[in-house]
Amino acid sequence: MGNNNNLPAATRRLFLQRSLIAMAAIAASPMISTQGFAATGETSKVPTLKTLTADDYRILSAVSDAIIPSGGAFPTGALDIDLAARIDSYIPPEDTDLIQGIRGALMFIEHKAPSLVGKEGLFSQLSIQDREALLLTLRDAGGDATSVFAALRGLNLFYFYTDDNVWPHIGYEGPLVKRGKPVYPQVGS
Amino acid sequence: MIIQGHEIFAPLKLKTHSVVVGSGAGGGVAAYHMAAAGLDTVVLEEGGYFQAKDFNQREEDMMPALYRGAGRQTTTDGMIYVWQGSTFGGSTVINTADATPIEAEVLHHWQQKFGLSELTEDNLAASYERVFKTLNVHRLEEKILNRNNKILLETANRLGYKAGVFNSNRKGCIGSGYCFTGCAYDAKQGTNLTYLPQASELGARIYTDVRVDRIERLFGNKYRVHGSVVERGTRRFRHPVEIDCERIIMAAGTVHTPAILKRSGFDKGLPQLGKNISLQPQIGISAVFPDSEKMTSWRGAPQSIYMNEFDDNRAEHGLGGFRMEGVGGMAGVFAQFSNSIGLDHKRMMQQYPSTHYSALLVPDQPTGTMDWEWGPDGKVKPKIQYTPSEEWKQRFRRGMKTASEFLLEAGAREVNFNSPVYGSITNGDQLSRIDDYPVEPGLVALTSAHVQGSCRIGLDANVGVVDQNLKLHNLDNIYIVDGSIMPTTASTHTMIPIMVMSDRAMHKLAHGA
Repeated sequence: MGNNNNLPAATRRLFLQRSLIAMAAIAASPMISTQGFAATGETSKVPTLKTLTADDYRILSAVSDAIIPSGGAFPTGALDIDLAARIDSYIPPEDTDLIQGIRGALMFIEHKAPSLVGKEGLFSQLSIQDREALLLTLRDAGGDATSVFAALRGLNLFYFYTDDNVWPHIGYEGPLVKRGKPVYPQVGS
Repeated sequence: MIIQGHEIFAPLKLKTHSVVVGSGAGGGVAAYHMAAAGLDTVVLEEGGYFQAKDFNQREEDMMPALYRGAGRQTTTDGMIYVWQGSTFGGSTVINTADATPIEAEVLHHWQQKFGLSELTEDNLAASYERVFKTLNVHRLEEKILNRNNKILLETANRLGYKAGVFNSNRKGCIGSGYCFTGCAYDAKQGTNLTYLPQASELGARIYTDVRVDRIERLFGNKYRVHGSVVERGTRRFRHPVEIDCERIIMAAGTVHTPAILKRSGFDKGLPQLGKNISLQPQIGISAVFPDSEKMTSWRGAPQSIYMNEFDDNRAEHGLGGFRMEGVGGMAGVFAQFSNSIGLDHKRMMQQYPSTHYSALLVPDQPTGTMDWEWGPDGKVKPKIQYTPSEEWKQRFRRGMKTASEFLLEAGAREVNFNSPVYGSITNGDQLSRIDDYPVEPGLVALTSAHVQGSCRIGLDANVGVVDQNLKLHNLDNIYIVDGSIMPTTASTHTMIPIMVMSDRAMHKLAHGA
């Protein structure tokens, strides 16, 4: 695994900061079906995005699906709540460092990671089994590969398990108060 | 009077006697004492003004509102998250309301190593009394202790280990479990509900959404504070601020107090500025118990019980050893406490109600430094440089082994850590694996909720930044009252130590002692 230290320093550093990605805007996670994933490459199926590009969204959806697939212990997976769109809604558009870091990691996963394990093609084109296996290989590889794995894992887990739709499946009843986001009163300069 | 940034429509120019920079544990206490002494006082807080009605008990919303850098502030290598509050009330709004004193051994250590003869238990006693009264410090009520914490106490009792229930600064707590995201019931008695409103009643003007950029020294040991009214959330510049004053009390925290002093050019003659940082790193642990053993970690006081059998506090080194403390109330963060993905991870999270969460706290020696870089906006940006020592890493691994053994003894089926690479521990035969767990950036996620140092107390400028009365060594009329003044880590929780040190110095200053 000789390519583990080729990430730009800024991407590497940003993705070490993986657990608690900044959140800013109003979230309204649209629901899409599990079957919807196959079509996410089509521009028409991409939801309105605030920060990510359609390509970012497509790759992030492929990553999310591998980290939190549908089925298993409980039915809901990342695609069922359109986790990539939820993450997009929380990325502050003004945080260019963060956005560049996310994009760098997604590009690494999509284009570089498959070749590191002898696979041809793009990450997002692999089967879900191969995508999960590839992510676990990155986890165990050390260096930047592990950092990118950890970053994307943390990003996805954080926003998945803070989603109301997921809580019933893990026995968490959610907040005791039912309130929207805190208001940020603003005025022009 | 509390003035929020969006209520300011033009450049702000003020004159006052005392400016307090920051409204957390140290700044809140200082603001109260200055106002109580009848001094015209202005408090400047970069964060926003949020109240109980704003707290929605959701991590993804409240961390950007209340935490410095939305909770993403880390050391430069990314290995350690440095959690600090950045809101009206500072970290006292987002902590778990645990009230621990400066350990006696720590004071002895400061006396022996640094010659700080004035910082004795006797000399601090009056401050403890005042602070405890204001904050309603008392032993946590039994009714809000949850199973997640109690299992530490029960297991410790069975093993003959030391453990205990925290004292706390709550009032009328219902045990909702959301301390980390601000108390929606005004039960946690932070400075936002105690010292700051009292200071306001006494005439202090408290500005939120105002960042201090630098301080200019004027003729006659007076100062001009240059700041910016910022937009809440983005913190983009809105209006300039200039405040002429006679006294400045810095309470912007271990990271930003030295950064402001550096930006102001006050670092000359202060060789210790930005050095000697302690992070007291901790790691999150999850332990899956049988389904019948409901932990319900998200309800009740999140952090109410500690297991301190392995504390090693001595006058030679201050805090040492390691300890476990229960923790709860952040599903999004705690979901990361393992290395699994896919169906394995979902299986683990399905057992969330029967999963115990705790933190392993491993005190450190003050070895970190604050470095600086000039940002594109022309301002100095702080960079926290910190590498754990080999001795610390050994103690950390010993702590992980002990915690694993302890939780398996308690009945856990598997123990996991906040690391993408550390595997699960399911039986005692696997403990030796921990010897090989890497403690390196990217391979483990540590958290510091108790960052201290960077402007430590010392008898002169060669060893410290402030004196025992917390006055800057090289300039008159500038004081520092936040966690940055601690020569070494003061306690396992730092709110009370900071408040007590601030109270002692500010009470003396206000009374001309």
